[in-house]
Amino acid sequence: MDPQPDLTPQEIQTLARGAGLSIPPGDLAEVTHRYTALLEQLHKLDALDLSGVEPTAVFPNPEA
Amino acid sequence: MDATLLLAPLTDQAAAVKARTVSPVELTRAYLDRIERLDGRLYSYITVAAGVAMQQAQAAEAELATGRYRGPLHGIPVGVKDQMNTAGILTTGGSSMLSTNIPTSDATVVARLRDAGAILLGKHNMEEFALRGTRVHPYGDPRNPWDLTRIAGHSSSGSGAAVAASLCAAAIGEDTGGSIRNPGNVCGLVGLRPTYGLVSRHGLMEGCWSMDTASPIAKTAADCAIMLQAIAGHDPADSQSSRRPVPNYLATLDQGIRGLRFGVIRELKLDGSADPEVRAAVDAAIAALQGLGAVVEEVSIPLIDLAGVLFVAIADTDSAAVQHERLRTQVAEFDSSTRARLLSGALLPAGLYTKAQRARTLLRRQFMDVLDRCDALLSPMSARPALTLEEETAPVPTKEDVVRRQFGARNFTTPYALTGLPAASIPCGFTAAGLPIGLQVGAGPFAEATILRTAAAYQTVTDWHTRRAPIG
Repeated sequence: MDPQPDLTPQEIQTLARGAGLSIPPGDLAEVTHRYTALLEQLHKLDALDLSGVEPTAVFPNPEA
Repeated sequence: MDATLLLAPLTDQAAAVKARTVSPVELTRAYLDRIERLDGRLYSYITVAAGVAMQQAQAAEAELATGRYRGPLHGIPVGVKDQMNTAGILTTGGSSMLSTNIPTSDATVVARLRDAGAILLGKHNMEEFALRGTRVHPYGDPRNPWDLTRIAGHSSSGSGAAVAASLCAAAIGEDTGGSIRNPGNVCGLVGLRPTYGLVSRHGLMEGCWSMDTASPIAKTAADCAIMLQAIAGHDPADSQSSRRPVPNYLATLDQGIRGLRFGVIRELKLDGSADPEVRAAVDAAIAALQGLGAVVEEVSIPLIDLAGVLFVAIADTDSAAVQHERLRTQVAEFDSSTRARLLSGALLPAGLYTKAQRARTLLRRQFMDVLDRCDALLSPMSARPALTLEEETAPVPTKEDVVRRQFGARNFTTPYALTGLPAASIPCGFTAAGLPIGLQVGAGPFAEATILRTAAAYQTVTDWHTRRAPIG
């Protein structure tokens, strides 16, 4: 899949508003770097075969 | 009282208390004096509970005088991270927003320390809400006792600094993605993250519910075993608490490691970009374990390369949910790094969050496959020794900088957090400049005894754990 173009700071602010939040102007550049880096890196998961793999948060031990 | 006893391991202090050659009151007063003298340079405590500590010490002394001995923590002064609730004592989570928060009940781990007879000296400084990267700590920036220009790790930084500077005998911190092992690494201590579910989370300020783990940090393997023994075990107040019986960690500590099989994790081997002194120390430590009779082989856990990213996707999203109301109404009161981290986490699409949790399941499978043939896993704790405060708190100017500093550097510690497995940092050397270096030892579910046994065996052929920070 072609990489998606990075979201702009303005688009990130709009996204935040949709989540009921407001990003202070002084933080917008850093939040944008962090968020776009995270999305970019998570696209590496596309290479994994996750079919039939359930999302798991904790791993109960049978003996626990 | 011989003041050098404060620098000694907890086990030595326990022996002295048991033999009645030192009293809990003497020991507590000596620690309070040392904190008063040194902590203005370290900022390891947010609250020193001197009054409570002296009351507890007098009670312990009176009880010991009747002949009742509760065990090796009886009369021993310890500290806890300011993430744990303490009845009647300020509990801030490292945040200015909780500067007047006084809980009405104790966290389970605090209650268990008290039941074991330990004396609570106070609450340790930490990164805001246990989130790595705090730029300005509202209660002072914790300093590394080995070099005051450097950080004491994250996020149980105050606990690492306090134990390394002998401002308490040992401490209980917390590890969500490495927060006890990092301070252990850079402060030259044993910091052990237990299996998820072994230690209660009740009364622990929530960061990421599926990874938060109260964790001991101490000078030696035996000290760490004593602290873990006191806090481990089922707690009905924690929905994820294991009912499994807790073994006697001290009983197996000296069994040696002959014949144990160790896997060296290929994906975490240091390359040419790492600090050469760290590389050499870790290689030497692995060779020392081989010399003690362990069988060492290289193993591969490919998804470790994505562990830092998976951790941020899951932990930052969960933490942002926990902090949502504060983000909405008090956003300016967060530290700038905490704020940026949480706001970024708050925006992650649900589909990607779920995908990260699926990959987490795969990562656990890869670990368990390797642990089918290995008793324990070995890796460096980090590629570099402690960063300076300036390096740690520098701005994040580009996306590439995020990838390097926020994701790649987390690949060492977060795999164990994501998979709920235990791991510890073990002191394995020093740089020429005198900065501690750590080896990470991980194991299968509830195999803390194997980790502690490995650390104890390593201590029989090395003296790193006996060195003390040049302060005081």
